Amino acid sequence: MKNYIDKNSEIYPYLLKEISSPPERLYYDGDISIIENTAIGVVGSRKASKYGESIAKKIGEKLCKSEITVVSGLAIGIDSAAHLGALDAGGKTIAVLGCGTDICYPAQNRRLMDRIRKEGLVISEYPDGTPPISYHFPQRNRIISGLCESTVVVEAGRKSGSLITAEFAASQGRNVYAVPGNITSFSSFGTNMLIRDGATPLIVIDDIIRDLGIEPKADEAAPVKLGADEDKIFKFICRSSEVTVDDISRETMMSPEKINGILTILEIKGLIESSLGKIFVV
Amino acid sequence: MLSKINTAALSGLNAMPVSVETDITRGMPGFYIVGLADVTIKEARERIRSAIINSGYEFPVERIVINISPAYIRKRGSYFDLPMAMGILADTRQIMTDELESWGFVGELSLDGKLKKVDGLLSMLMALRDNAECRVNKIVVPAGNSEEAGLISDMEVYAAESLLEILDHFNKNSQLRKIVPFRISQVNKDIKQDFHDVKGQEEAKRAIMIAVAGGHGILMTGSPSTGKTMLAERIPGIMPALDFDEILEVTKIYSVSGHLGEINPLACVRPFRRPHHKITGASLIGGGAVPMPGEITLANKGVLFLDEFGEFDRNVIDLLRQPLEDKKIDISRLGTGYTYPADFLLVAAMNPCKCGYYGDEQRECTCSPGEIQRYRNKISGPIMDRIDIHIRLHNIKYEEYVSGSSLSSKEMRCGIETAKKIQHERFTGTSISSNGQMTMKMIEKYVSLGECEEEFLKDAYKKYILNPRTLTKIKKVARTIADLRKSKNVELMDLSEAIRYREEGFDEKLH
Repeated sequence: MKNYIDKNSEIYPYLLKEISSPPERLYYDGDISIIENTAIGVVGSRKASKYGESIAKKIGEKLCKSEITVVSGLAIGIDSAAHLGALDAGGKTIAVLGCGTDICYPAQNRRLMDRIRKEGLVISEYPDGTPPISYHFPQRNRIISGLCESTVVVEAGRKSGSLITAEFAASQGRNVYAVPGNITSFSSFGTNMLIRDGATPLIVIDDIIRDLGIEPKADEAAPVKLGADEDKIFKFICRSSEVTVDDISRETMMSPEKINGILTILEIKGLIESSLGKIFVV
Repeated sequence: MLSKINTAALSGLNAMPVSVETDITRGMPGFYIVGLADVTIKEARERIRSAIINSGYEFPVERIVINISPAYIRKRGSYFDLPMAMGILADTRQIMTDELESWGFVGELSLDGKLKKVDGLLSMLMALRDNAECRVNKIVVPAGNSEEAGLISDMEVYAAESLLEILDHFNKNSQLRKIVPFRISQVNKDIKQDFHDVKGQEEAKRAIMIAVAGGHGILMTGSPSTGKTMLAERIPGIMPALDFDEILEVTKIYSVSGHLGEINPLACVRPFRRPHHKITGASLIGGGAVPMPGEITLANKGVLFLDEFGEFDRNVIDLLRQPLEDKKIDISRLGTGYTYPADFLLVAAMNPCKCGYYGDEQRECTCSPGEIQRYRNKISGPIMDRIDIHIRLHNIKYEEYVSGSSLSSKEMRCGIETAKKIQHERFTGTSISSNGQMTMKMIEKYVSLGECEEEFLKDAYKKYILNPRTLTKIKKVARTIADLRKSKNVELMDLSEAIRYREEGFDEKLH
């Protein structure tokens, strides 16, 4: 069975052909027609904070609602979250691998990879059986950026591989967005650096879509009603990015037990998230 | 001639009455001890001889045979010195009394005739008191053991400094000092280490309060110097004070394992044990030919604090499974089974990752994603399942450090005592005593939820990707939270708070 397309193939994306060293062949698994869709790369650090992951997931969801395909690298952390956001929203996603499309790397993403095979597309410039070799990964990053009109870097540490993707995107003349973070946050150092160097700070997710000339679909979610205490806590979290229960307790003068009770409710309502004891707005 | 002296022999944590039979006959002078005695007992010959002579009495130059009966039980320890010496003195008519039958003797002799403190005395006294066939109602113990012996009522217990004092007593020269019985009111109930000293960390204190109130195991995760140890050390102070039976039980354990000294002659406060992470399985659960109580037994009725939880050997930690479930440990050695109590509160603390700074605000974590996961995976799943409360600690900000308001141990203890009382009433007649031990059936019975609560749990189940096991834990913790506010029903806010204390899994983030 022939499971690759080559450079002369009709379906070979023109965006990819434009880059300086386009792959000769693209091996694939899944629905190859997806490759013709308008796509945006969503990449980021493997060691992501939950904030980063929830943003990546949200970007994935939003893009899919406007029928834009999400391209990423199937790594753990941000990449997985972006893929998952797209799949959960019923959209399309492309995973670009640094090994053969028959190999699952990292192994813990087996379930996610199987889902992408079924509902999306997995591609690689390496033939089946190629093991995941470390120098393949920077190389495959040029394909991620090459396939896409724009690339979003959600979270990147000082030396994250996603900075390479951003560099490729810039040199290919594509848009680079970076999600700004606290300047004290280690996991946002790389993205903040990109902004300093000229990347577009991503303030509103819809901007990515608008910049493509597409009008984003409005969120139909009904506004959530909050009680007085809930509102008080929620407003404080909104004001102060990441907080702990003790921070809230000091500010609102409520007892930790009461705050904890309310936090779960806010979390189930989908307004906040918590991770490693820190609470933040989604 | 033949004399018989009553004493007791230790076996594990318990003891049994034994008698020391002495027979002195004509023949080649010699001193023989039989009855499965170990080297310490055989060496007693020299101590007894010197002690008797140095007390101004005569040591017979005849053939002395001592049998410690029943002869088939292995005996060890130096506390047979005094009964053996008494046997020789009685047999040679150097003691002028005919009521030795109702007396018991325990103690080690030094060469000058002084009586030395022995380990495990409390168990021996209890054996002599409780055994129906034993007629002992007066007993002489070393003065160093006075405080411990005071725990025994319905028996006349006398303290002696030396062999000479005892002989003077029986020969009517002077009287031995009777030990004053212990009174629970004399226990100092002051809290030495107060939670008030721990600034900030109010959320953690609340979680600890719940853990203590319901007997839930707790795991604190946090970067170095976030106060994990400081919090843990203060936990025994907020537990209800030990009652008399508990003091008896704990003192017995500490006596047998030789942990009682001049500073702490009795175990009146809740134990706090903090074994090093290199501990072996045997010292954790108890070991030796006759097993000595391990850390889990020493922590009985108190706190077992496992600092650097991630650094413990996985197999060693796995040994905690039975004790956490049954509140006791069964050990079998040389064909004999020993059961030791192990009713402790598990308090564990660990770093979030190998370098310790994953998720820290001030320092960057240098671990790779794989390393972080491996660190977490080091802790065995079944043990994690037995820990109901998981919290994350943060670095204290300066404002928190200087802020005055802070929950004190006294307030915490007050709430805990109320919750304990409610649980005591609830579980009277069952085999358990706290919410943390509830079985599935009990949870069904005692955690009845309204429609609104059920609906909430359903949402939470989906949102947090819970499983039946985590749900069980949440319900147990919610029951304790409801008890803390003296509510009969478990309400939505109780569940909602309990959910905050669940284990935050790695895979929970996605999938």
